[in-house]
Amino acid sequence: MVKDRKDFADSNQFDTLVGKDVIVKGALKSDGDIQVNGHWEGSVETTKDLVIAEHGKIKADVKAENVYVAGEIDGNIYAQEKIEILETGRVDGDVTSQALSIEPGGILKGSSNMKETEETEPAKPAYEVEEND
Amino acid sequence: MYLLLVNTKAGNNRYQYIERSLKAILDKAQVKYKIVLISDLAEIDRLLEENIKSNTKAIIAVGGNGTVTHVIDAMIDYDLPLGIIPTSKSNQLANSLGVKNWKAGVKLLIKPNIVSKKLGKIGQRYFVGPISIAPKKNIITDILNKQHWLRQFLGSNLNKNIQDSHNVACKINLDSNLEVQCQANNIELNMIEGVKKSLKIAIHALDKHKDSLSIFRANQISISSSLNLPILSGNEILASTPATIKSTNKSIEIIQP
Repeated sequence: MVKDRKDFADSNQFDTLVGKDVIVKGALKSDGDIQVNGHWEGSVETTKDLVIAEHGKIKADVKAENVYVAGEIDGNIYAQEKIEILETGRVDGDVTSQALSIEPGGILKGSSNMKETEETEPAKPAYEVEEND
Repeated sequence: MYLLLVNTKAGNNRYQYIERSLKAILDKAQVKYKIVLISDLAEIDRLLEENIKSNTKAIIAVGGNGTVTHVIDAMIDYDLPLGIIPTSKSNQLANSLGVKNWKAGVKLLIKPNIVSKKLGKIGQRYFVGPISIAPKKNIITDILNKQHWLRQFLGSNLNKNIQDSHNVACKINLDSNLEVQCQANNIELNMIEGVKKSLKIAIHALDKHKDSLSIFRANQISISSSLNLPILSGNEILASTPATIKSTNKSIEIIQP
């Protein structure tokens, strides 16, 4: 699910929420949405979305379905789908995703690798043509 | 037959005022019961041993938070449901389970609805329902926080009294994977059924009078804090920090709406 800014304010959305001025150290593997408003050192991996809010700082490699950066991240990002660096966002590291967007003001210091979309089966024709011998 | 364990002292001896009505409701509904009075909460183990018979179908704690939490500890080895008849107005545990007052608790015995709840453990004590870790305001701290002769007499270091409006520095280890350093005004723990990490931890901190929230999930947390904070089930103190709190594989059946 692609989020927009108003979703970032709703704390009920998140499985893990790191408040302002909270420092977390260690590795987390989660199956829910994560929002970081504080500081995180270690690694973060989720099958859902990761939001680094405006005051959030992460010093870690992260993996998620979609990653939204409005704060700072010092580490590599691997997103299954999309990485969005918002106007206040800053990334020091390499990013890999299917889609990447950087708003004016957003900073990416690193390389970006575009992950190819998974190959889909060729579409079957909607009708069959009978071949005459 | 229900076994009613009655703490007569709970809620300013409230039982003596409701006893007749309570019995009348149960008698009218032809509910079979046995009443056992508790004079000391430490006796509950013995009282259960002496009074649980083959026809006992549930244990009913009649009293406040303290009575309920002690009964939960004592009945852990008996495979019987727990009912609650709250006689103190501050039985927040009963409230959180949906039993709003003593009449509601009694009426539930007539048409019992039994729900299984996962048990958590702090040290040697079991708990069900939400718990909180927070400064507890009481009459003594109220007096000491005011400009009182006693405060002046005792000295200025009492400025360090924890108040509802204070944050306390806490370090929380979650499942040995994560270390969380935070300022906390109140930490709430809830047991969540049917998920991998069954303790939901909500950390509230006051940031310029606004509430700053953090949420984590774990099966076990170890918490230490710069000041010893009570760990409360309702208003009953189960332990104080530093402490380890964990979800268990045990559950308890509760009669609730």
